[in-house]
Amino acid sequence: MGTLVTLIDIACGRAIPPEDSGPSRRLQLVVFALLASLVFAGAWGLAAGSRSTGLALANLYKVPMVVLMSCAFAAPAGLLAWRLSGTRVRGSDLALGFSGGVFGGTLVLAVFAPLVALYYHSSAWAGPVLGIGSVGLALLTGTIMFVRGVVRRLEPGTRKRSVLLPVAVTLAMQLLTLVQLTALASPIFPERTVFGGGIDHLAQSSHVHAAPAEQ
Amino acid sequence: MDRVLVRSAMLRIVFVVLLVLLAAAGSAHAAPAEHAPARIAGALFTPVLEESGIRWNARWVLTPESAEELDAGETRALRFAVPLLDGETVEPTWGVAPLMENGRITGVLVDRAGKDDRTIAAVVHQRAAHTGAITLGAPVAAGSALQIIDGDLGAGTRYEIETGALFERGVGHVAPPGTSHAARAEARRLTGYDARVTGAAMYVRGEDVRVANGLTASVVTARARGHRGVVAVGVVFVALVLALFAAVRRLRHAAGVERADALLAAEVDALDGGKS
Repeated sequence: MGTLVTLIDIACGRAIPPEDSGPSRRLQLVVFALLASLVFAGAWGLAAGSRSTGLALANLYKVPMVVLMSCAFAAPAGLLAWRLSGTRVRGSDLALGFSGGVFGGTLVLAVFAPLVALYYHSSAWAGPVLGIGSVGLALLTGTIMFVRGVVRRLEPGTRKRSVLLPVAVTLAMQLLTLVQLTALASPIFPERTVFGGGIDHLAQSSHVHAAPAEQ
Repeated sequence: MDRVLVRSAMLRIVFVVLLVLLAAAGSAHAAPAEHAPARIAGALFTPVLEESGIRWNARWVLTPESAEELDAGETRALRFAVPLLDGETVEPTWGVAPLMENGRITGVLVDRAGKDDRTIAAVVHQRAAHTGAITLGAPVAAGSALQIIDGDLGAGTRYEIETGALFERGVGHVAPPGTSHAARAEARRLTGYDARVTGAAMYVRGEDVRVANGLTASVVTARARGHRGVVAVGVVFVALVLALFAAVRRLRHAAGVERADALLAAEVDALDGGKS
């Protein structure tokens, strides 16, 4: 429970207590944050697919997979950007901020899970809207928590702008991988959504009446 | 009397033979092979799945010269790169008639009535399964004009042709090697093809289709395309989760020591602070 409170504090951008500032403890918190995110994501997946038992069980594995794999794919790019940008922020602070953002985002999903399940069972249209809406809100929350967590842990005298590149690269990479991983893991919702076809469907949707997009 | 009868019978036979020869000559004159060929600048073939197979909506765009010839009231033969498959039929349309040779449909006879501006439209029905590998029944016209087969079947499902040496896969399309962007753009412009980023557009030439003796393609669903990726991602996911649990075990001791040290140092500091 103490670790969970510490993780929520970290996600909120509060200062890390001195007893949790050691390198091993920081790394442990990052790992705990990611594992907790998997549980939260699984809970939301269960709710989103609760209309069908098979889908619900599949989502227990698929949604955490999408979350964890997007983190795994985004992290190397973020680390490279962190190195190349020459910012003075500590790598563990960046990792804590990132995992805190993922933790916070998936926590939002978990909080919405009962609501999503309820609406999926009692409404024809509100369930999917709430499901997709909760994902959007989770992404927004995670982004804010990540940025805030990293910025608040900057050493005095470090320019905030210098940390924006690694944060932006990490977020962009995660978003790009999320789109395709969601397509690979599709179906997650009982309905067909625009995200089910990945970048191809998204590009098609945005080019329905546009000029030929093929190269 | 007998001679008269014999002569009469012989005359009748000669008359019948002449009639048969004349009829044969007449039919030979009307044979489709006599029709001059219609030349095309481009074509678009769109498949629609129907209960018994596939309905191919074909639109051939004639060259201006061929279009003028049709306007002059002439009938032209639009030959296919390969004859239609057994069981494939051309839906009867005003101004477009199937061209039969050796019991197979090798093209269509077109006249002014079947022409809209420079476009000839026809519908070809192919009996085929909706899954697995099939020979595409798109009536690709003979010649070197670049034609488009839209393999998109909707909902992410599409035909994917076996590329081999005659075709190569590009970004969002399949085309003969060396096909320029301008050539593809011209083929799209001529046919009004709405290119989408589906990877389903197949640019083909009649010559290549003839050499390949038809195009073999498989119906590939979005799910099937992603299946291999899902398995790989799943394996990596399981490995990552195991790695995270291993990290938790390995870090438990070190993190505990760090925490204890930090708490101890804080208590010592507090004691020092109390003394001073």
